[in-house]
Amino acid sequence: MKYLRLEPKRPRIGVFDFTSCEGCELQLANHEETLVPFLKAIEVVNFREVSSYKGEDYDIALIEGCISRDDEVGRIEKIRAQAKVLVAIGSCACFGGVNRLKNAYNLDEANKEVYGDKPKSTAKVRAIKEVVKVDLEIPGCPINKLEVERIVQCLAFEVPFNFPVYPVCVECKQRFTTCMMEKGQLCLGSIAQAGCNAPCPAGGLGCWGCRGPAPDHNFEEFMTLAKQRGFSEKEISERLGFFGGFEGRR
Amino acid sequence: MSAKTLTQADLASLVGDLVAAGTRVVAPSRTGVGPLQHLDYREIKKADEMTLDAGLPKRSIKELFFPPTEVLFRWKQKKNDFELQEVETKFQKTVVIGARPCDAAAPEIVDRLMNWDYKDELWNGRREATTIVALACDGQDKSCFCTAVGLGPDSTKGADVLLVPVKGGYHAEILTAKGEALVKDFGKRFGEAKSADEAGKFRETARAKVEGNLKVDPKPIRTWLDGHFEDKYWGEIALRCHGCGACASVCPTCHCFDIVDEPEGIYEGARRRNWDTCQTGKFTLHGSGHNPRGTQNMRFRQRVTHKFAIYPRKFEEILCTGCGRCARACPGGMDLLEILSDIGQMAGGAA
Amino acid sequence: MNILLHRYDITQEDDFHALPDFNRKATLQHVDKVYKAEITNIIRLTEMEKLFHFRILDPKERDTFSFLPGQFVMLEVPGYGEVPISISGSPTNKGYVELCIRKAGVVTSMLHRAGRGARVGIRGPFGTHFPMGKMKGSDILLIAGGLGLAPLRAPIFHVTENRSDYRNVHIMYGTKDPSQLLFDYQYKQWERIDGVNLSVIVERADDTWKGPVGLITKLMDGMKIVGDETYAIVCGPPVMFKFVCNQLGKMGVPMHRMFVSLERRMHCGMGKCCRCNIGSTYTCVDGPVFDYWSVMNLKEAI
Repeated sequence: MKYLRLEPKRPRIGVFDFTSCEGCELQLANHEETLVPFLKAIEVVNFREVSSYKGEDYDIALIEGCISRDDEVGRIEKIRAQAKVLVAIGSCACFGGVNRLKNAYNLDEANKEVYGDKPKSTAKVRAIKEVVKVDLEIPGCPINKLEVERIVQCLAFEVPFNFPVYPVCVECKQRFTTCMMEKGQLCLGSIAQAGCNAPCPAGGLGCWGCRGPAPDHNFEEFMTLAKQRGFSEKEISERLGFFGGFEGRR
Repeated sequence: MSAKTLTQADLASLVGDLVAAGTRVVAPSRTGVGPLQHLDYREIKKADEMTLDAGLPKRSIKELFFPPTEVLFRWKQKKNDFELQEVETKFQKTVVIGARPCDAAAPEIVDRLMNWDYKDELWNGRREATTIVALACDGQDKSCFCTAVGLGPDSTKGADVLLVPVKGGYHAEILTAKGEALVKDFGKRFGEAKSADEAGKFRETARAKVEGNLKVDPKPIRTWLDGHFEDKYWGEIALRCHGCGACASVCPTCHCFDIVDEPEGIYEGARRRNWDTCQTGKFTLHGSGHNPRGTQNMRFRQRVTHKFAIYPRKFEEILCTGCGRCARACPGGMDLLEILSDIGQMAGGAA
Repeated sequence: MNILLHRYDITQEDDFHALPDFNRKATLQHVDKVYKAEITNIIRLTEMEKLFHFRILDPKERDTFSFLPGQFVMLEVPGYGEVPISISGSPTNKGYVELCIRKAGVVTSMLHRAGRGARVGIRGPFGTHFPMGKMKGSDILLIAGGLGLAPLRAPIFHVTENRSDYRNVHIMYGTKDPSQLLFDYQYKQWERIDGVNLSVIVERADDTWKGPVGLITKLMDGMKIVGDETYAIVCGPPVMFKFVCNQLGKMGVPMHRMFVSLERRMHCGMGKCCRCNIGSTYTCVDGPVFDYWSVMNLKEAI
């Protein structure tokens, strides 16, 4: 920002993946219309999906995925030691994500079910913050590129970034999307954190709460409402548990 | 004030005439497909896109004067400086046909706020460019309560022309200079008035129907609200509220907004004002972290008191037209009619 | 011996007969006009606060820009937003506008990073002011807590520049700890002015601190004032108002002689967006300066 007599520091960024689908990383390389200025604003030091160059002197580490094997623990600890700022991106890194469903089963049984008679090393799924200190969490499955751009802009100028505190409902109203509950679908919009711009309800799918709970939410009323509308405890509990963001509230 | 007759066919031709004259015509129209189909005010090009007999549209006409998001100015970095670009304040001529009286009344109520101190150019520009042809309502459903706030299904407040359905067409009351101008410009579409009695009967029937929904007097409610800010009634008022802002977004009179800078590229952007709602916590959050309206109950109390006590005190108008949209749209089932009738009882007014 | 006890009768006050005026308003100048300004000087006050000097670029606009103590401006940083900031300079200073800014949100953090020569926009001034004219001939108590010294500095300037108009002046200032003291380089100057009494207190002392320790109300203990010949201006965090104003009340200062500057989230500054509503009062237009009597009658004010 030249008019403020400021030159942005190009933050040196490393992107790393753990147990995940790598969709969030792909999302970082998406949104072509701003991709060039975005890549200009940062310096990619280590990002498998974008560049074959592998540097080790990154300042900001973006972590995708959860910790589900013991060998991943050593790797994340090494990254933590190098990075000045460690950012967990995506629901897997923030809450454990879909992978967390594994925790509901016996590990050996799960291993056998998936890998048959060639078992792999496996452990209980943990979010990144359960293993090392996390400085910032950007939830979402996948993350919202526009939001990430804004956050990176803030990081580059060292100014704070504030996530919305209101639920997804507010964003549906802003887009004039008809309420999914009205249409007979279960929707976590009233308790899930906004910031995604509510694409799922706009596309006809109730919210699955991939961004975790909103700071301002009315959980009791959500439960009453969902039950009133004929959704079973099991159904609601499964929906709440899907991305792991509502752990402890099921 | 004069009266005219407008037949169905003439109304259809009027729409054609207006569109041909380059005027934007907005009317209730079916939109969306399948389960998403609903009635909304939107721009039409042909008369057959218009649906005047299917009740109250889902959203109000507020957004014609106060869009959900609008640019206040744009900025651009230029060498070591920045440049500000003003926005256009001239707007396209617009005629709204078939606005329900509860919607037509709202802009006139909000006019007071938009002009009480600083005059809002964007709002006034759109107001001046717009003529409202209201359509008397036959009483939509159980959530209507326009009669309880001093209006009615046939209220003329805010309307330039009021159409009352009669056999074969409409009895048209021309109410303002803007309405007269419309009749003058398209005189051949308006005939001599001849069904004043039939129109009168329609209005009476509709009034009786809506009056049955909620019988309260706004005066004692205002007095009660002024004196019962700390009443225990507010303590559990918002148990069902999600803080989603549905009520504010469908409300024809809610006018709170937020001002944000949105980037349009890296070195340019726009400052916009967007609809906001007093039902979210961030609305009043201070930079220091202190929040004078910290709980949902306090926020809901603000909504009710603002509409029925604060705004009347400052601008002598109730900030509510009784359209009932908030009660219909609330996912949690908060019902303003219930609340008003509770307060009406506590205030000792007509129950 | 006849001892004449000073009896205070509120009904003898002119102001008593005037009802609290909730709808009084600031006279708005060209509030929708953005004055382009340049940061000419940056003074580091503490870790969190900096004092900025802004010079309005157009010489004509610079000449016409005037304000009264207690008013605020909207500071615009294109691309990041705008923030309401109380003016903390002297009203007679035509050269530049002084704003003391704490690093809190996005806009203020951006400003803290900005360098000399940076371009920003200024709108205003907005809001009501401290009634300095009405206070003439009285004793003045100027009380601030924390960042409250920033808005209070404008009336301090006014009082010290028009020293003969006022009787005794007491400036009282308190913060959490010595590292948070603002404008500490000016204390010596204020102290030396004839009839100005400055006292500073901190809640937690460190090794270097020699002054008193405790809450700001401690400075007022044992102070002798004549209630109806005193005006007080109180600036600080909302929680401070209650304690300080109650104490002032006990000392005999009537509520309508205490003035506070309310903090509120504001966006438009024109009495439209409803954010700063306290009942039917729009803080941006009807405030931010209120007498305490009005504040007590405003719900949710603090």
